[in-house]
Amino acid sequence: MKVFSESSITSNGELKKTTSSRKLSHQEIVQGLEQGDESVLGYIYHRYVQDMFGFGSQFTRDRELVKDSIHEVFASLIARRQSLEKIRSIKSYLFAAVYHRIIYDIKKNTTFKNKNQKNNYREFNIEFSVQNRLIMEESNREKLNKIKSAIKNIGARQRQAILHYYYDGFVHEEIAMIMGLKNAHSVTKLISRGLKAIRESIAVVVVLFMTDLG
Amino acid sequence: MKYKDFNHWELAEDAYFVNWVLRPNKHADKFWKQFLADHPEKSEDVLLAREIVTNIRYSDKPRLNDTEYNDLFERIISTKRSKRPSNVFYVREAQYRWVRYVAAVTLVLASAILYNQYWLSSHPSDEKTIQTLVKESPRGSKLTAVLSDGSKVKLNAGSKITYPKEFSDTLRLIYLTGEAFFEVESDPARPFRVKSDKVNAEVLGTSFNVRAYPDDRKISVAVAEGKVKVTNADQSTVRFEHTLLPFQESEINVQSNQVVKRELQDDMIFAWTNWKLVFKEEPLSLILKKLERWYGVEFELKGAIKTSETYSGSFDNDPLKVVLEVLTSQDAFDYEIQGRKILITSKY
Repeated sequence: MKVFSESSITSNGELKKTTSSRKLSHQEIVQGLEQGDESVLGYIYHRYVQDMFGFGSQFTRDRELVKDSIHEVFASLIARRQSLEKIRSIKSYLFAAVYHRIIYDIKKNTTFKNKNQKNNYREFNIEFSVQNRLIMEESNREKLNKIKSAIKNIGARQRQAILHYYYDGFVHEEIAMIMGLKNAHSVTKLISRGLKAIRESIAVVVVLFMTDLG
Repeated sequence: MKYKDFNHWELAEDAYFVNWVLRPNKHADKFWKQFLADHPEKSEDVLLAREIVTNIRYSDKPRLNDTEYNDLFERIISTKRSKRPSNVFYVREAQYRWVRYVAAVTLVLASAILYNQYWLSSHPSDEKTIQTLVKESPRGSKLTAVLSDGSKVKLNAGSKITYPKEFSDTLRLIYLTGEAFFEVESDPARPFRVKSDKVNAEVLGTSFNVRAYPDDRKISVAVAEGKVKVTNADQSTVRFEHTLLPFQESEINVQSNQVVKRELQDDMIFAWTNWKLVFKEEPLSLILKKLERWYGVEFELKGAIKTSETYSGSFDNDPLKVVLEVLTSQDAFDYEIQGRKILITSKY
C-alpha cells in the first residue's frame, strides 16, 4: 500500500473566519442569544465545544452520544427553552446541560436487563505532571507511572471536582451546580480530600524513590 | 496574616490563592507581591503551590476531529434554520429525538432501474395524484435539495433522486441512483424509505447517506448514527434483513450474491458529505472511477499500468490537477489533460 499526501487545507478554515477573535462578555453572549444572533452561537461553539466534548466523554465512550448531547444543548439554547437570564456563567451552564443530556440518553438507551444498574461510569482521570522541583527528576518515568495509578485510586467525584477547579477554572458554586451538589462547601470537601490523596500518593513515591537511592 | 503558616499544599487549596493563579488581577497581584516581600521564606511554597495548581489536567480529554467539528456545527446551524412548530414542550422533545438519529446508508446499485414499477407497486392509490420530481447532479458537480417535508438531500457527483412533489400520508419514498446524504425531518407516522433495485433502507426520521452508482459492483448500507433497517428489494438478490446500528455496514456483492454485516472502522464512508475525497487502500481502478464522477472527466489508460495497486489519501475538494500531481508524483505513470479526457501513460 502506498500513501499519498494529505491535503493541507484546514477544513474548518471557513468556520474560523466567521468568528470574531474578541472575547465577548457574559452579557453580550446572553443578549446575542436572546436576539437569535447566529454569530454569537458560532462564538460559543468555537470557544466551548471542544471542552464540552472532552467533558462529556468522561461519562461515556460513545462519541456519537456526546455529540448528540451537545447538539441538544445548542438546540435548547436556540429554542430558548431555558430562561437565559438565569444563566450566570455560560461555560458552567453548558457543562451542566451536557451532563444532564448524556445521563438522560444513557438511561434511555439502557436495556431492560441492566436498567436497575446505576450508570456510575466516570473517567476524570487526572494527569499530574510533577516537575522535578516538587519531587523528582522527569527521567524517573517509573515513579511517574506510580503516581498516575495512585491518582486513579482517588474517588471519581473527587477527581471530577479537582479537574473542574484547577483545570476548567470553575469556582465552587459552578462546580456544585455541574455536579448536582448542595453547596460550595460540599465542593470544598471533595477537593480537599482529593488533594490530600494526591499528596499522600506523592509522599509514597518519594519514600520509594528515597529507598531506591539508599 | 494567615498565609505565613501555609505550606504549598494548603496554599494550593486556598480559593484566594487559586483564583490569583488562574485568573490574575491587579488587586491579587499586589497582595501576593506584598506577601512575598514580607515573607521571603515562603517563596518556595508559593512556587510549588503554583506548580500544583497549574499542572493538574485530564489524562484523557477526547477532542472532536475536523470532520466531526464541522458536521456538528452544521447540524446545530441547520436546527436553527428549520423552523420548528412550537408544540408542547415534551412533544417537541419527543419528535426531536428522531431528528437526532443520524444514519448514513450507502447503497450501490448494480443494474439499470425501472423506478416506475416500484413507484406504482408501492403507491397504487396515489398513482394519479403523484407529480414526480427529479433532481440530478451531473458528474463533476454536487447539489443540495430540500424535499416537501423539509428533509434535506445532499447529492454527490453523478447522482439522481426521484420523488413525489408531495409525499403520501403513510410513506416517504425516494428513489436514488448514485450517492446522497439525507437529513430527514422527523415524522414517525411516515417512514422514510430509500429504494434501489437491490436493497431498501428504511428509517422514520434520520440523516443518512446512500450510494447507488449503477456501475459499481458492491451495494453497501452503512450507518453513522441511529438505526436503519436494510432488506433485499427484489427476488434475485439474496434474502436478508439487517438492523444496522451506528458504524455497522451491510455489504452486498452483486456478482457473488452474498451479504455480510460488519463493523465500520472509521467514518471515511461519510467523508464526501464534507466535500472531502478520501481513499483508503483502494485499487487505482476504483480511485480513477471515483475521480471520473467527482470531477466529471474520463480517464484513458495507455501502457502497462497496474490498476490493482492500492493507495490511500485524502483531499479537501482540491482541483483535479492537485490530485493528479500527488497521484503521479511517486509512481510509474504520467498524466496529460486533454479537455475532459485525461490520458494516463506508463513511464516505462
